[in-house]
Amino acid sequence: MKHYQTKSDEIRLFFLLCAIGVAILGVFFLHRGWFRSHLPFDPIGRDHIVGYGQYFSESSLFDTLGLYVLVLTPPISATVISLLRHQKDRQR
Amino acid sequence: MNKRLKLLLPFVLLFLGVWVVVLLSPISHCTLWEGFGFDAQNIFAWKYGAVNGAVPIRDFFYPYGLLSYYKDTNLVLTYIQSLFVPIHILLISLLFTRLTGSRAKGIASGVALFFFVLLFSDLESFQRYGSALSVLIAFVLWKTKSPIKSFVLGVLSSLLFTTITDQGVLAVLVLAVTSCIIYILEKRLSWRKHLPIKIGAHYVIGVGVGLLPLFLWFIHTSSATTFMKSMYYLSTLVTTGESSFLPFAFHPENLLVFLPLFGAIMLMSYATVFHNQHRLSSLEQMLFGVIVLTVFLEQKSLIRSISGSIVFLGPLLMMLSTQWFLDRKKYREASLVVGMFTIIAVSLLYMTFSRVVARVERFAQTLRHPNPRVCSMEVIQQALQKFPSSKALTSALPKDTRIYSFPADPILYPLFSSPLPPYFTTYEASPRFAQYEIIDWIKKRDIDTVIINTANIEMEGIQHAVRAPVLLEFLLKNYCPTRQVERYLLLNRCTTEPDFASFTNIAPVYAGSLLQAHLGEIPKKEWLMKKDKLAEITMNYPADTQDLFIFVQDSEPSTTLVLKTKNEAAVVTIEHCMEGCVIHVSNLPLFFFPQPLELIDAPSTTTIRFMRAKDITTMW
Repeated sequence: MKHYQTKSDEIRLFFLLCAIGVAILGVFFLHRGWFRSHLPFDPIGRDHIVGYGQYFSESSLFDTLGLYVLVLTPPISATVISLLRHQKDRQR
Repeated sequence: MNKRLKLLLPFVLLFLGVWVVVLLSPISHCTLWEGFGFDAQNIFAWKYGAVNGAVPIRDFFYPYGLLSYYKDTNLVLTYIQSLFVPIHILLISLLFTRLTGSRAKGIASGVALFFFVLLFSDLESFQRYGSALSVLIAFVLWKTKSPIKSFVLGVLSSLLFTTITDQGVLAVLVLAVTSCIIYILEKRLSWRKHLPIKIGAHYVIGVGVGLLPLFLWFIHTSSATTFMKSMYYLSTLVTTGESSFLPFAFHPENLLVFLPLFGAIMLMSYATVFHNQHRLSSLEQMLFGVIVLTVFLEQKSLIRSISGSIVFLGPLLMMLSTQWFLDRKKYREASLVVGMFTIIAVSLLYMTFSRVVARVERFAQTLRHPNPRVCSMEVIQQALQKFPSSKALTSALPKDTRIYSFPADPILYPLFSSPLPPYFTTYEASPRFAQYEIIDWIKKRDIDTVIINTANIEMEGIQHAVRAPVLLEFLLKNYCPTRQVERYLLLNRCTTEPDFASFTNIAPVYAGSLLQAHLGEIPKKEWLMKKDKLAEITMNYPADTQDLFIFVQDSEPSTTLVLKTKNEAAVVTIEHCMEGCVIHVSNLPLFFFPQPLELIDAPSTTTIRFMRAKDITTMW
């Protein structure tokens, strides 16, 4: 019985972590204007293309980051669960 | 009937059925697509290049691989290329036959996906983007523990690189990453276990052997260096291209891919932690592979949106996820996945109904010419008659005029039997070195006439004058406007000193568009990154604009400046200049022709200073 409780806790934590990832993406999306105007660096850093590289920083960089937030959230959540489980096993 | 034949017959019939549909479709015909967008024009200009013996990559930028280029000159190659789609569908059917254990379900899956492609995407995209998927399916179906099979997969990947360049690269990446995921999750990746290394080494050798035909072609056409250069060029184009923020937020097709993608990633992450098994099933290996493939393919959205072309990956991910639930008798979850996907697909069908109808109509039209045909100059000339401005332009200019088309009407080269430039559109000419290459080409080829499409001001939100200022400056300073034919402005070599007024006289609307510059955040980035290359100067009106830079600071998020000369005024819009912005005045079309700046009209919140750059070659 105890084992199942632990497992359902883990499942809850897994979905919670995934939801946090998606929420971060949501905040990112809703406030993209703020992120755009406050980026203090050039994401490419190559002088000769910086001029028209604006389109990369404005949109494509955000596309990529958004995609990776989505893609990486579940595996990161799974890794966190595995690490917690591993730590628990060691304590036992 | 032989039992083996009886088993294979449905697959053979499926293969032949799909092949017939492909042979009837426009991808097997030398035709000019309706719509005359720059994509359709590019494809047609490449056909013209192939017929005239031009070498792709060496003579002009060509990213799609040798097969799709040379098939236009050879019927055998046309038939070989037409086999790609039937092979993809056959492999998908075989995969689902293996996963479901039912031949009927396997064939039904292949047929369903094929109809999905016909409705929501197109055969040409599926032919290309389904290729790496086919290599992945071969990898999963084969259960590659044998080094020999791994070698064959390597050869297949690099042959794919020769025929469809990007898909070959993708196949190698997807197989490498998927194998690593499988080995890590099955805890088989260890230096003490030699099998993965042996398999990997055989794969690499296979890739090397498969590249031999391409190397022979390099030697034959002397195009090895240009090929390397084109690979570097692609990386530069990524940074100068444009796409909308978060593709799935704006393109309904992307919902069909992103939601199943995210769902599949959730499912596999969940399965890894809560269904811990020693070995991954073929289904799980395939799901990991398709996830990796989809994530890699989405990277192309950095250059241009790819939503419509890879939409078939959505149902594939959905079918694999559903099967994972069905295998574990979780019928509720399986029906939830199918239900959600059906709702999105039906909504998409509703939203894009007109496009679906147009697709079906286009396909129906091709039934009038059911036989595939290779391109010849005669066929090309016939197809050119469909182009609306062809009569007006050919009556205005002699047939063999050497032309250059700005910004993007490559169909005009076959229309005048003119040589093809290194890049057909200003979009491809975004990197500055590409603009210089076109200028060199214009000088070497002694181009008689420049044809500017005055109705084509911007592409995907960016003005051509902003994207390719170096090229436009060269054109406007060396070619003077003579007359306008429909939407096209014809320019011949200047016999008098060029000036902006001649554009205003002959094409006032186009000249007006050149006076509006939407620079967005270019000036902000210029200031942030290059302030140490700029030095303030003192200058009074009227100011010499040669290599002049204007520093602007404004507390408002958007600033509009009016730069006045004696007779004209350029309106410049810039954004987010709270910390500072810098505008390169000589890059505005009005100042291509040196003339003093009389005054700048700016909002009261704005601070303006004049600057000079130590080295203008690194500035916009």
